[in-house]
Amino acid sequence: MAQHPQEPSTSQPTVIGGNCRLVGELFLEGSAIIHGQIEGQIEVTETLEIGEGGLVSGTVRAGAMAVHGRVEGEVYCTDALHLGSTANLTGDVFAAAFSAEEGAVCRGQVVIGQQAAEAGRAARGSGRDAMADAAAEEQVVAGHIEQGAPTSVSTSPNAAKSLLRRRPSILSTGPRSAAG
Amino acid sequence: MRAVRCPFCEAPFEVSSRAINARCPKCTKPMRFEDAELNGFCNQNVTTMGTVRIGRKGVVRGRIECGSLVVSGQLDGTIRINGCCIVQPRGVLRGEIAARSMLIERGGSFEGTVEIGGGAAARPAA
Ligand SMILES: [Zn+2]
Repeated sequence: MAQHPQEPSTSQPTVIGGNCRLVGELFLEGSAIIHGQIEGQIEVTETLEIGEGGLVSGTVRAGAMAVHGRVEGEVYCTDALHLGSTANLTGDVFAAAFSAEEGAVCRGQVVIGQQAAEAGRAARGSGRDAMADAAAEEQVVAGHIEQGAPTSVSTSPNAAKSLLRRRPSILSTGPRSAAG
Repeated sequence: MRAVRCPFCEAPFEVSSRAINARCPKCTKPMRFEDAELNGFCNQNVTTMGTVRIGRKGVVRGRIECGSLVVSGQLDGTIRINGCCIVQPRGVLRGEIAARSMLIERGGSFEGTVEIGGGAAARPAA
């Protein structure tokens, strides 16, 4: 029973294979996974994943984004940007939330937060904003960073002050001292 | 136990979570592991291999070199973290950051330059 190739729905990501090299502008409604090379501008309305062998140079606009390959250029995410352990990103980043695993390499100017997400949205001029707003309000931890949790830290301000007073060895007062 | 990485030779090793001082088992350089929490307005430089926490009410400016950093308040400065940098939902971090890994949670914000990986965080400050 041979099946007709169907037009992919937006729920299925568009895959750009490792043997594909694209120069120019690419706009994708829905999600995408890139294993190949793209030079120029790419805009993906939902989730963009850049595979380990993927290389994007230019401007990238997406909802959420996960990078395992290489990105050089400007990145605008209305949602979270995650850099996996094999990611290499050089350039400017604007995103609502950000995580980078140990092993990832990232260099550049980075702006994270609601305003940054809005900058990404303005750059895209796209519609689905209320959703991103709602998502940005959620206090969800994105990604996984394997590091030990901080241990035994006091929470009362006075206790902390006295703690610091007792431990001058690790502290040195800056040029301007306490203002409050 | 806490897993650490020597800032001088990059050797990974473990120390007791209560340890205050230790020497790297490979290069024998000494290091301190005290944790610190900063609250209120202050201008403070901190150097430790332990965890530095900027409390909810902290408005801190300074140079920080530490094992890991958790920002729940505001921090503005030059920061070198040998491990992970976490900005919690209402945390605000600005400045030059070098870290091994980073997490900026939703609702937290960051503005500045970032250098993750590439041995940046491992170089001890002069
Ligand atoms: Zn060492």
